[in-house]
Amino acid sequence: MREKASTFAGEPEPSGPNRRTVLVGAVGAGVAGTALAGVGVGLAAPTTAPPAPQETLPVTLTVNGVRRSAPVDPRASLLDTLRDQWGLTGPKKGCDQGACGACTMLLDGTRVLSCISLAVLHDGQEITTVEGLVAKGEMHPVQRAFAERDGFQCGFCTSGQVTSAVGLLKENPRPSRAEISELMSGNLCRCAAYSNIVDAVADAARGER
Amino acid sequence: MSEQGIGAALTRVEARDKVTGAARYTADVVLPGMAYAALVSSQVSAGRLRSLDVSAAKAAPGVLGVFSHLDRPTWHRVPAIPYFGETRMPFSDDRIHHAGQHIAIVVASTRQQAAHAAALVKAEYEAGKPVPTLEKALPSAYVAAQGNYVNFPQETVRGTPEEALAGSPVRVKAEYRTALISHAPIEPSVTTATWEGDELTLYDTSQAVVVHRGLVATAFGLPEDKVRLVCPLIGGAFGAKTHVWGHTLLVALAARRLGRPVQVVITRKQMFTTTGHQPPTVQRIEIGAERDGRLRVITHDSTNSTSFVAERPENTVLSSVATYAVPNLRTRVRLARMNFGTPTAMRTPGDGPGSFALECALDELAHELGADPVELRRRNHADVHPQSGKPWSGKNLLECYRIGAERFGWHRRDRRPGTRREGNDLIGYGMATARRVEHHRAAESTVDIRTDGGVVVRTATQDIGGGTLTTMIQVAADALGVAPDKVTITVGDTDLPPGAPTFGSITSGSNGSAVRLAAQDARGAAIRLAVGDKGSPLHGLAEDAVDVRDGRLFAKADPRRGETYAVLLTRNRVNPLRGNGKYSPAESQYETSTFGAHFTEVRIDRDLPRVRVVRHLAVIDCGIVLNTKTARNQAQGGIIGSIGVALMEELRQDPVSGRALAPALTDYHVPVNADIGQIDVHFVNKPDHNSNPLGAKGLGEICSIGVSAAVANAVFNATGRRIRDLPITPRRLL
Amino acid sequence: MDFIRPTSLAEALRAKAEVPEAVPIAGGTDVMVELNFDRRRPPALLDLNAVGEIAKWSEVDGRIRLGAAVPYVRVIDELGDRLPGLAMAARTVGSPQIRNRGTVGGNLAAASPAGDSHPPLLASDAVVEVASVRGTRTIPITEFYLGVKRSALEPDELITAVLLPPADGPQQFSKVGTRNAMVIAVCSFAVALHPASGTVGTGLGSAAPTPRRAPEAEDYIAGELSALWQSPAPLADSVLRRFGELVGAAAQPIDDVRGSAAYRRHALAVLARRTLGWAWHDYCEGRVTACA
Repeated sequence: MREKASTFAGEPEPSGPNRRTVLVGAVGAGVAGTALAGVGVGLAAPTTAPPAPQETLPVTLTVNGVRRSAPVDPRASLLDTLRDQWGLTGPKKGCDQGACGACTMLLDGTRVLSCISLAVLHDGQEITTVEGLVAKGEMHPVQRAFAERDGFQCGFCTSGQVTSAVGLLKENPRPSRAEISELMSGNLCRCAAYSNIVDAVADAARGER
Repeated sequence: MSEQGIGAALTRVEARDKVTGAARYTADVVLPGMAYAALVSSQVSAGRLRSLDVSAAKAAPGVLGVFSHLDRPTWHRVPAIPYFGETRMPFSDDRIHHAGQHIAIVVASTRQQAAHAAALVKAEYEAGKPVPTLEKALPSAYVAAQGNYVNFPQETVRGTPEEALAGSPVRVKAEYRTALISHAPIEPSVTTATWEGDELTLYDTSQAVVVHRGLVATAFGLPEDKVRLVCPLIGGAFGAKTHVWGHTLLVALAARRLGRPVQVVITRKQMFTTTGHQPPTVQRIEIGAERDGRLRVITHDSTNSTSFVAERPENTVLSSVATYAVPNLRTRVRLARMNFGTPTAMRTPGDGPGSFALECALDELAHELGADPVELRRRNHADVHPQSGKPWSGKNLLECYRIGAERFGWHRRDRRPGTRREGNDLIGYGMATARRVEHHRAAESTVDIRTDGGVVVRTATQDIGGGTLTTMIQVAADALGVAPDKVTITVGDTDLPPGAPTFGSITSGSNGSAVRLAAQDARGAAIRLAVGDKGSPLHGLAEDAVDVRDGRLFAKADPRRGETYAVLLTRNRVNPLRGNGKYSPAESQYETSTFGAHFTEVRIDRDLPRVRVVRHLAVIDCGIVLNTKTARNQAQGGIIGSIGVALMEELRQDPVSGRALAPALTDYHVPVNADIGQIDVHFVNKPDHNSNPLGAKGLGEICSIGVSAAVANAVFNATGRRIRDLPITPRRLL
Repeated sequence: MDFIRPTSLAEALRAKAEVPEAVPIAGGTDVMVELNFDRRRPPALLDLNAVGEIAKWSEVDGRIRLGAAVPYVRVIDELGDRLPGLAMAARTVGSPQIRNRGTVGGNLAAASPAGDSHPPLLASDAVVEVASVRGTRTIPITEFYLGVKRSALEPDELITAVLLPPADGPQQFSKVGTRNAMVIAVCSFAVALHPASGTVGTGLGSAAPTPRRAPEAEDYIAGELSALWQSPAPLADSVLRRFGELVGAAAQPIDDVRGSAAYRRHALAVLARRTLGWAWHDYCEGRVTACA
């Protein structure tokens, strides 16, 4: 079968190094098992940093309480920088256009969309992502409320929803249900767990009073 | 059977991971030395590439390779379809079949470099004359031959439909249209490919790792066991990740050529143009009935668009074939090719658009007859399957109507349209029936009991948000007699026993049955071990004299006599004790479906006139419910998705080129939080053991079927305006 | 791609003069959407986040001078009483995340006919302040918009502020979209009552290639109200309808993905008569400005 294996014509067929099993644990066996054990998977920093682009600017950010510096491609969004440079997996890329909210993070405490901002715009600022809401292993009240109320299905928008809800409660600590609906509308949930999301935010608001 | 977890409102086992950002989705996988790809899209919708200049892209900083049809990829073979996106392999020639078609792949060291270089690829086209829209394609519509994707009868005749129509005292006839709509999952499709010699590992956003592995293996000419597909968590799909699309193969090809792992996260625009959609349909329905409302005949003629590289009929007409007791019937499905991407399954294929047409037509008939829409449906209830005549494995549709009408307050509906007002709002009620064939698929699982009393379920299905990880644990816990918190599950990897795809509402019934069989197997083996073990307090008992609860085996006659799985296995040095489950659906004497009834209240600002669904109630009959918390959530989501289909979703096309005008979430509107009214879901919750060993049936699709018709019928009740084209926008109501 | 980060307005203007094609960026919510969607990158970005002069608002000679880089959220929180129309419009911009970063200056620079700020700016006779190394000039808002996404801004100029009189009467804004939030306007309308001068200002969004006013509707309603300012009484439905019709007639909308021309014209008429009704009601009730 190997001779017939697909490739681009006229090109050598290189054989890659042995890396088949690297990091598989983070996905294959890990996900549910760790969930049940109540232990987060933690950050898997890339084991090799990609080569620095030719044009970079030094950027220093405080991410979830940790100061991090790196040479950053000025074209890189804040989202890509946090994910690719520093291995955060919470903030998600849904649309890259500011239309879905999955990349929501807190910038100096205020909720913003990290896909439509550039890392170089935020040198010296403080970033909190969904990972940073966990304190000493304890989930943030909003996180607990989302878990208990089943405020998600696939979970892909959830980091953004949770972070957005934390920002919302900072802006407006006692929102009505109607206000929660409106002020959480920057976060699409295509699974449409909206009713449960409102319940979760309302619970968290009550708990924080 | 539910004392040990089935039906309980358990919190999802992966909840903490999902709310803390620890859950790993495909794009979160980072491999050492991984490069990033960007795909270049065709700007025209028909014709051929006159030239493709990749020199600037190749010279751009960080670029490792640029590949296109010029590199003449040698695919081993076109994989078997269905479940393979298109019959044309990517880059196989210079032909362009739709705007957005992949014409080159650029790989670079960083994401930004790849995106930048992709913008430097210069394509010149010899533009052809596209068939831009379904409207323009209709004159060349045709009935497809059976085979490939065409896996249901394209034409059905029952009785003598023409005579029946001629002799019907009451007739309604109308044409309904549904829009080109898009799955728009929040997670874009992602593939990361890595080779070790001739072994390929793909981290791929896949609704079916087991099925897709075989297809990829075929494309690359590899034995299946040389391909591994990994995808435990899907960030939403709704059908968009049901098939293998071109990007998956191209990334694998580039990774092989470059000798390093390559990842692509396709752009939101490419999600709209290259990973399928639900095609627009034009459906003509004619119904003939007696004056008392009994149906004499239905004819249902449906045409949907397809691409020039795949034939994909929407089985809309099954609604007419299988929902009501009607002695005469004629259905036909035709395809019309247009220069757009290939359509695919989208929640809910066939029945979504089909039930819109049929259930609206029923409402028109009810109005014509002056009959109550619920009563009309009751009168035409199909006691057996109307086409095959076989009995149903389980059906509680009449109960759905009864409970729904009662809880909704259906009696408050005024039959005269446009009569209920409140301030500026017109108020209307509408309802519709839901029916979906329950699909069965072979699935396997193992269940391991360990000496510490813990249990591990292993099965290569994946979690798409339906609560699969939790419900499979509940099934195993129930069958084993252990607490659910003793059970963990591993999914989403073809190295595991082949599980079911996460599409077609298959998971609960088929994969659940496999898990149940595996757990029963393990439990049986443990009991046999105990009764044959002189060291066991249960030694010598008959197997059926032993029961298990909370992880402890005990004599039914004397519950004090017994021991735990942990003690038994530790003493016998069995670790783990593995149970195997293989669910193979057999030819059945029954027809199996899921059912439901939807009731909707709309309010319409009569000046603007915008429709809001303020209240919706669904009563759903999907067998036994495995987890009421996740099921309610899933059903509410399906309903809201379909409210979006009813009121706002449409991927508009340019009438000349056929290109999607605004393939972006800024303009392809899906419901937001502030759009949502009160959504109530009630489950009949009766097990259907004739369907499968577990008695559970699919929920993901049945909850969304009929919703758009219920909304349209409510709009008619509110306004007297019959909108037969989706979505029901203010423009159409004006 | 060059990245220029001036720390003063003077520096920013020098940079813009040297690299006129540099794209100014503050919140980024407009610029980045375009850049990401088309995957293009301009030769240079001009980061205005460190230019303090344009990041604040103040009262100057009886007018509010709203710095171009003041985010919507501050307009909502801090100026709801003085600029109620603009604050209402700001509240409908995108999502809270976008309102935390997006700015009126960015909305003006993009000059999209669908931008939510434009109608209230038009209704209250705003003036756009622009600057370059050549000096500072002001452009009346009605002369600012030249075409779809085209404005009177010269390549070497930056928008530094927008100047608005504080509300001297009730103001209203309303917008139609296909969903209840997170939506680009199908059409939008703003109205501002000016009891002191006996005039009414209007602004129409997504109604023509540029945001625009409805002068005939303004003249008509000013005439109808002339006798009523001193002794307020409810407006006849026919007056509201006529006002709406004239607003609809002032529109030159197009068919596009968001709505049809006919629907836009119709909806503008509805928005116009409703918002005028609300504003006049507020006036009759003695509420000079709508609540924030």
